[in-house]
Amino acid sequence: MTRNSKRSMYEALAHEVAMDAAARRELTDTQRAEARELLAFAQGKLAELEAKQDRCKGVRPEIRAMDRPSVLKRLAEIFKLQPRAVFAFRDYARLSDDDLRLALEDAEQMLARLS
Amino acid sequence: MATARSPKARAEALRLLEECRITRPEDIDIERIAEANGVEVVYDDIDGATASVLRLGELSRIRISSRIHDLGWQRFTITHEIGHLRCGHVVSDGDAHETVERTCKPLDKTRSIPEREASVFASEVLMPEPMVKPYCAVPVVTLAPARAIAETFTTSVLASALRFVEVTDECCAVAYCSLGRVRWLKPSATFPDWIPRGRRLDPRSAAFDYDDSGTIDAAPQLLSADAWLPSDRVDGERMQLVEHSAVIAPLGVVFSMLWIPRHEIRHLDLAS
Repeated sequence: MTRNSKRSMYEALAHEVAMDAAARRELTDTQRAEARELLAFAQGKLAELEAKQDRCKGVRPEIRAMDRPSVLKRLAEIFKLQPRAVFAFRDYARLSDDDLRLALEDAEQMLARLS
Repeated sequence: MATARSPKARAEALRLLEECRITRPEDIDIERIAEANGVEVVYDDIDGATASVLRLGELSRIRISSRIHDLGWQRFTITHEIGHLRCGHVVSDGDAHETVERTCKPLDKTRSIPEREASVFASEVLMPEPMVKPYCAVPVVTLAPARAIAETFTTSVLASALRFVEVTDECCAVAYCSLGRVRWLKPSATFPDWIPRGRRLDPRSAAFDYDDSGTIDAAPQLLSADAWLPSDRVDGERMQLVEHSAVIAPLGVVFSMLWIPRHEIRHLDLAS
């Protein structure tokens, strides 16, 4: 009974100390290292999963093989051919290479339909 | 009173509402509007962007990221992209290559005017001022009217709160906060411009609680105005402010409707 009571008290105190440290954002070096490892693991897993996803579905192989400068160059050529073109995107971070390839695929399809 | 911002976008939105004979909230059918404008909407697994629009000749295609699940957000995004088309945000005739490069850099300042115009257009189409105005006639300004607008017009509560602030005659503002600081503020025409970006949240505010404890009081709060406004500009003892905050959990963001009542309030009688 006494042992249980002491353990409960210890747990309650440890919990309070941990909550207090969390509130003050204080971590030990070990905890920091663990957090960094966990973050790196999660980021690695996410990158792995993203790499497996095919974001260029429906994009022809020639465009898939193009690098960013080549995609931009071809888009620029198309916009010269179609001077009233509109191209915009809504974004939080960036227009990725895959998004650009998809845009070029759309542009090539439209160009073919227009000609 | 609505501000006279982006008059071109507002005029274009009104033109579209007339063309599509939209007179009631239930008429605002985005798929029909897209179709009427010759726009194909594709929901796709796009990568970095949340949406894109491309027009060549008379052909237009909008791609919407399948990451957008919220219907209100989807509707706003599609209408925003239609706004680019209707407002004539064409790729410049000059150096097309440079234009594409510039377009692909979202933080470039040259993007800000077209982006703002497209958002004003979307707001005007989805929440037309004459239809929203009746929702702004409330005795107590909280997030309740924004929630009513969101429900009627199928928009997000944040977009609806911003629209409320544009249309109302009341002295109010929406504060968008994260990590314990005000990130930006959208004031009504009469709200004082005294809350700078980056201002630390006051511990008396409900918005502070979210950063501090991860929880928030969902009810409106009656506070001294200096909980939000600089104490050297207001008489905190006398000046009152009503704060009603809500959380966007996935973004870790709190947005607060702030209202300075014209008359003294003894207690928040939300039933009135």
